[in-house]
Amino acid sequence: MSRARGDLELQVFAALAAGDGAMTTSDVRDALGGELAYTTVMTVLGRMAEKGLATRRRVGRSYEYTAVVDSAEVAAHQIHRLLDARGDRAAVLTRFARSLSAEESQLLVDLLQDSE
Amino acid sequence: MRTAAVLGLIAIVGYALLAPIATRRLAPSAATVLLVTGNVLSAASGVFILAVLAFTWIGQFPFVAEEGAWSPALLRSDSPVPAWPAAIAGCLVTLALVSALVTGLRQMRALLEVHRACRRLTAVGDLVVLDDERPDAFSTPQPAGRVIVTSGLLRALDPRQRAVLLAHEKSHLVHHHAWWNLAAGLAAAVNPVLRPAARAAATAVERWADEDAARAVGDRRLVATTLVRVAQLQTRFAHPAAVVAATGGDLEARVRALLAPPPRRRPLVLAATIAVLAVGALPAAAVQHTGEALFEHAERPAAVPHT
Repeated sequence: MSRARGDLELQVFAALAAGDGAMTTSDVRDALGGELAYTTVMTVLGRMAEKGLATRRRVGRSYEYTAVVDSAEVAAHQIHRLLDARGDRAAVLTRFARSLSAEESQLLVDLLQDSE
Repeated sequence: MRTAAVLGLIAIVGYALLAPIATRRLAPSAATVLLVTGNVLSAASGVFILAVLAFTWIGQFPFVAEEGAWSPALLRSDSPVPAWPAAIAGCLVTLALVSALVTGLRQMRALLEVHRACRRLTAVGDLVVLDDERPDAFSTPQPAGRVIVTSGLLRALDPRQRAVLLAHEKSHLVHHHAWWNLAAGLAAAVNPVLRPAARAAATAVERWADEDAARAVGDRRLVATTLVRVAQLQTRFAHPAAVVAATGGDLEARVRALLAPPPRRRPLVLAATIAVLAVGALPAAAVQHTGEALFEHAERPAAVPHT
């Protein structure tokens, strides 16, 4: 499968997981910025439902989708231990960002404002 | 040999001090490769030089000399290294190897733990969404690497910021970034002098993913604002004690770089940096050469058969 298609599925799933509760195809399309064709989003959602990555429920003439998000307690607990750990456990992961002190946070906001 | 060894150790310290500064202006992918290669090579050459120094002393023990078929007395009179510096070198080598072993084992265990934890999670492509309020995002090393994002973080970002986050984490997976970090960390475990250089490598790795994300979404400023947004969200959720301990000192550098124009390719700077690295390796080669000569000279003449 093409890389672009895999990325699309990822984006759709992220949008679905970000939403509160069930979303219709047009909700998902809007959540993605509204740039994709309705049919494209519908196809991706349909495929995800078939794979068991999302559940769907018929509402009127269309479907509402919900992302199947892991709440496997044990795994989640393990991941949190990995996240909380400093040193070597944390070193095997690359984190997007870490928490900041108040001064650092202010400095970064100032930087962004200056660049405007 | 003494001069070469001293020069070699000076070269390593010099590298450790200068490499983080010298690679700052390079494109982050080039900086990562150079820093990690340089860190690993200088950690290895440090251990090598100290091991040769130590062996001029160890080689004088009769039972070792017996094995190596050289004369302990000749070695003692030839050796340019007094016993006590050689003994100290031996202790340092032992410490370095033990530290590398302990760190390596701990990291392998952590890797296994990460993989075990991830195996049970449902992944869409490489993405795992964890149902959790705490905003967090990270990636685990290849093979079978995963991007793990909490639903709390996804909810707190707008669609464009989500695209930045996913592109950034995807870059980590595609370019095997976790392994570069692990290698730099191991080098720093062998030689603590290389710790700042390992931190510089970790920052370069994040910068690499930032640049990839900027290219994917076509907006450098958006990447910068997403970084700050996520850091602030995490601060709000973090334990007060953790804020002090886990300050992302590299975040400022990353934001500054994103607000500046994209890095240009600098073949000249790159070539010069590689040349300096190569010159730094010369003393280690000299130690190897003179060390070999020393033991050859101390070799016992072949036993003359009795007539």
